[in-house]
Amino acid sequence: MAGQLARDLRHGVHIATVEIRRSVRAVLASRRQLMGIALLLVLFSPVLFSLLSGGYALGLRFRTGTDLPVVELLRPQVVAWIGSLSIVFGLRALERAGDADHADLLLTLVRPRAVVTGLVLAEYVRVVAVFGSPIVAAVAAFALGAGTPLMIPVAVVGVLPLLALGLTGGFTLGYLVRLGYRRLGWSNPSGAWASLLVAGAIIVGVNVFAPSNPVRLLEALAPLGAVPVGPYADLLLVASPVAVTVGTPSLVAAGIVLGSIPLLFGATWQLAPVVWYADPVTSDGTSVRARLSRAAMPSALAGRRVTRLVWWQWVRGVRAPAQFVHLTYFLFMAFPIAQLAVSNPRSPIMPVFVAVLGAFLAGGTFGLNPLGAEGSMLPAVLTTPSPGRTLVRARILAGTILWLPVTLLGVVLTGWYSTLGSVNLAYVLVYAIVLTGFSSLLALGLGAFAPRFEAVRAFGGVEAPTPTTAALLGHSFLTTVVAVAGIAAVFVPVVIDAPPFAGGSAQLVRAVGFLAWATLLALAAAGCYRYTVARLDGYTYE
Amino acid sequence: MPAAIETEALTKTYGDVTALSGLDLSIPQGTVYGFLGPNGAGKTTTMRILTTLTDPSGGDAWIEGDHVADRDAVVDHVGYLPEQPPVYDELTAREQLSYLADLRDLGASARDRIDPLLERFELLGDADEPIRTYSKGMRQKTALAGTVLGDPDVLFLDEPTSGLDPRAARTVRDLLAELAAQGRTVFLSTHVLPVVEELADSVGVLNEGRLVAQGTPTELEHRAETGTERGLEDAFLDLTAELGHPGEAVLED
Repeated sequence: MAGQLARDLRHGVHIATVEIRRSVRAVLASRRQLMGIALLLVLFSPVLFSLLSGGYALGLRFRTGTDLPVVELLRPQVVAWIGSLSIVFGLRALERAGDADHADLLLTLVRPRAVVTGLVLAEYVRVVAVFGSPIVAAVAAFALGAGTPLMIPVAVVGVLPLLALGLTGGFTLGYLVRLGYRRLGWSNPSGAWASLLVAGAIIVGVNVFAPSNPVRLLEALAPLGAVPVGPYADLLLVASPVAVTVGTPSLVAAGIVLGSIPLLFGATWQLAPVVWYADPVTSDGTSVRARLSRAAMPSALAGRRVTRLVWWQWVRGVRAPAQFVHLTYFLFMAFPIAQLAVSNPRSPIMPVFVAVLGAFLAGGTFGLNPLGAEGSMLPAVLTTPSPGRTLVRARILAGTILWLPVTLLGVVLTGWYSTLGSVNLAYVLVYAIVLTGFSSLLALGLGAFAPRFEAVRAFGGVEAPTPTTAALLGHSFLTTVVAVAGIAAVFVPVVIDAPPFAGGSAQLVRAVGFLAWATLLALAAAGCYRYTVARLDGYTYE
Repeated sequence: MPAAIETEALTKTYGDVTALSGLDLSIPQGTVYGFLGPNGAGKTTTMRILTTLTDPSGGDAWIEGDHVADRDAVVDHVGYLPEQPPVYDELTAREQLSYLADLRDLGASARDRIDPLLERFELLGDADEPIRTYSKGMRQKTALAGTVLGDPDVLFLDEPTSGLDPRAARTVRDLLAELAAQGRTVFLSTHVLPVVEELADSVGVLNEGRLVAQGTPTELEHRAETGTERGLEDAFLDLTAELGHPGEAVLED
């Protein structure tokens, strides 16, 4: 028994090693992915710098101790971290990390728990690299500022079990959710939709209802300090200037944390094979036929080639919703809208937020991977007459027909309810149209530049060629920049009562500024269009 | 000596759809068994059950005497090559085989077989190139090399010659014949009937989830009711066209 366990663990380590090696090589082999990572580092370098400098400054302040109730503040946060990590890794397990590539091969070579072990260990290494590195860097900056370098190894030793607990808890949660929707008889697409909705609800809910004021947030979290794992925080402070005497509650908390990890790990050993070996939930022939018959093309779209292609984009989207998993990132855009809707529904900025969110969705839904999304059909698509122009137009229309009317309706309703005024509302409506058009074409340009051809596990074990991180983040970043510029063009002239905006010239300045903004966007969009068409028309396999 | 593969009334249903209905097989060790049937007949479902990847809805199955419910015991006997070759694009062929050797806990002698296997499949020259640069045939050969590397007692091969050029296909056929001569059992699902005619000791024809005929290739070619000499292809077409009347076509040993 012990020999078998050791063998499975050894196999798990082999699997994890190869999984990590594959991850690294996949990134290193793609120049576009490397560029995406470089872009991410550039974008987040200010955050990292402020984290390090802030940590160092805080360390200097704490060098001689502090009056702040650090322990009382940290204990609830430890509980919140574990909970948050469990949700994040539950979603990761649902998304892709809970399944192995070529599972058939692995499961006929080794025992299922060896495969689970490999997946969890590989994810753990990724977690430590992605989450652990910045945490340790910040702690190191603090420790150097406080003159207590011993705090660095203590933090490393203390944080690793927390990450392991969040990870194993998350995987257990993820497998339980997948089992749950299997029990409900949901097929993979239905489960993927449900998971996306749940993920969205959690993200939006947390952000809407969590107090934005840090002090009130800490107050709201305070009751979590009573959870028995809270005193684990005391151990993280050992060797720091604010260290407290480690008492029995901390030792009990450490016991709970360290004891829960193997228990939850064992739970994943039990749950994962149940998920993997379960029969796929399939519809019977009748319902499949019924769905197909409902999917008759509306006559309004049947007349032209490009609109027929729009229809097929929608049909494919409805039947393979996992390809839209990246849209969950746009939920972050929904936070301010949801928060405003709760706190100040009559705010004049509401319609602007709605316009920006609509633009994100119109571009992001069908635009971010125009080549890769065709999958194995790409050669057939590329050998049709003028594939670039037709496909690009179809994808633009598929997104805008779907989202622009909803966006404009949202702008009108929120604008009518707010204190925006009719002239401003008219500006925002035009702003929404221009931004949506730009976002659609920008998405296609970036998606054609950085495509993803291989299907990855998107959600609930479902595979889909989701957009690359570079395309997704590039689109989000550039759309945000031009959206802010547009907001400035629309509102700055009328809210700043000073030259050159004072008096009657404000409206003229606004009109000219807005026109200039729209013209620049139109030019940029035209460039994206030409690039995408050329890329699709001239695409050759490397 | 137990049969290499034995099934009794093996059944698999997905909702209202019956993928496999009452399959009875008894395949002795050292046999090359050709498993034929049209697309959607249930061949892959059968192989997935026999390799423990899918649970049956009813009936029983044993591999080398171990029940398929005992996954740990069964996986020690089997090697499975699915229709889509399972290869890791980011690894090289040599790395992939070393990885599989690690997972199988193979000893030094088995590891010494990696290079000869690569050479046999004419992959040695590209053995240190990433698999993502390989052609379809090279990927198939890499996957097949991985399947036979551990010298499993029972090989389940789903279209093993798919995507191979005639020379590579010949290499595969020779290899399978050698394995059978060494006492290994090969469960071979393919649409390439000449391969079955050449290699198989016994053939089963599955149609709509039911075994509609079983016998040696020669027996199937000389169908009892006609008495005329026909090819395996004609026999296959007849058998799989006789929907709803499988019993009339069955040739039992």
